[in-house]
Amino acid sequence: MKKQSDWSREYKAVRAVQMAFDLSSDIQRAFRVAAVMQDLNPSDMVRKVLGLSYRKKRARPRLTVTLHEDDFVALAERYDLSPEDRAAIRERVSKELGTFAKTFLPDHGD
Amino acid sequence: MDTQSLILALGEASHAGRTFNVMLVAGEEPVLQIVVSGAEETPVYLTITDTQILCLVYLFEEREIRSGQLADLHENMLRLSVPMPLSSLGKVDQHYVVYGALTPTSSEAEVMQELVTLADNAIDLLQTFEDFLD
Repeated sequence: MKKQSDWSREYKAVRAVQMAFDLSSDIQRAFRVAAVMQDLNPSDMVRKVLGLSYRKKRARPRLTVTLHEDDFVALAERYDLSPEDRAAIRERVSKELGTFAKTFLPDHGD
Repeated sequence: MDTQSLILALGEASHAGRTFNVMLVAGEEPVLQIVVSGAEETPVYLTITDTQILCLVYLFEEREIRSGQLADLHENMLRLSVPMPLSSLGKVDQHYVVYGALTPTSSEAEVMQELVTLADNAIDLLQTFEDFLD
């Protein structure tokens, strides 16, 4: 593709914007990860870094999943169970999530 | 107009009931990250050269496009780009963007109008293209 004019300054400007975007994305990701590791909200993590007052822990850190009708059908197929046997499905879900957690954070198992 | 005077102007300003949160991103060329109130999820990146003030919002990446939808999405983007007020669609590396360019002699009010319109357009576009994205 032929370029009609010298747009090198403009290309440089676009590149600078790209670098700024990448940098701010990296910063945001770092804050999200740091917040999770310290049981804080990302905004409280920012306040902590800046030495401002912040809420120490998330009020009720809990992990919930709402299973809908079609989720039970999909999970029944996954575990080779009947979709009606919801207690068994829930038990398998709980077991699978526990296994994932142990693999993900091996020091925090059991 | 230069980035320093724009930082000062935007920090104090309100345009059509909207305010601006400005952050200077350090780098070779000064770039401002501007969050417009009411459109916090679509920050605008602004840089000034000798020939233009470039304002840009990142929409999504190429890898986020549903398989088989690329051609349709491009067709829609080209058709939308003309009537969309003050903004156009484009691509930087793997990122699809919406952007607006102004003359460096633009007034502060004109820059603010561009920022508000661009941030709102970006939200509209993300909703419009939702079906094309994973």
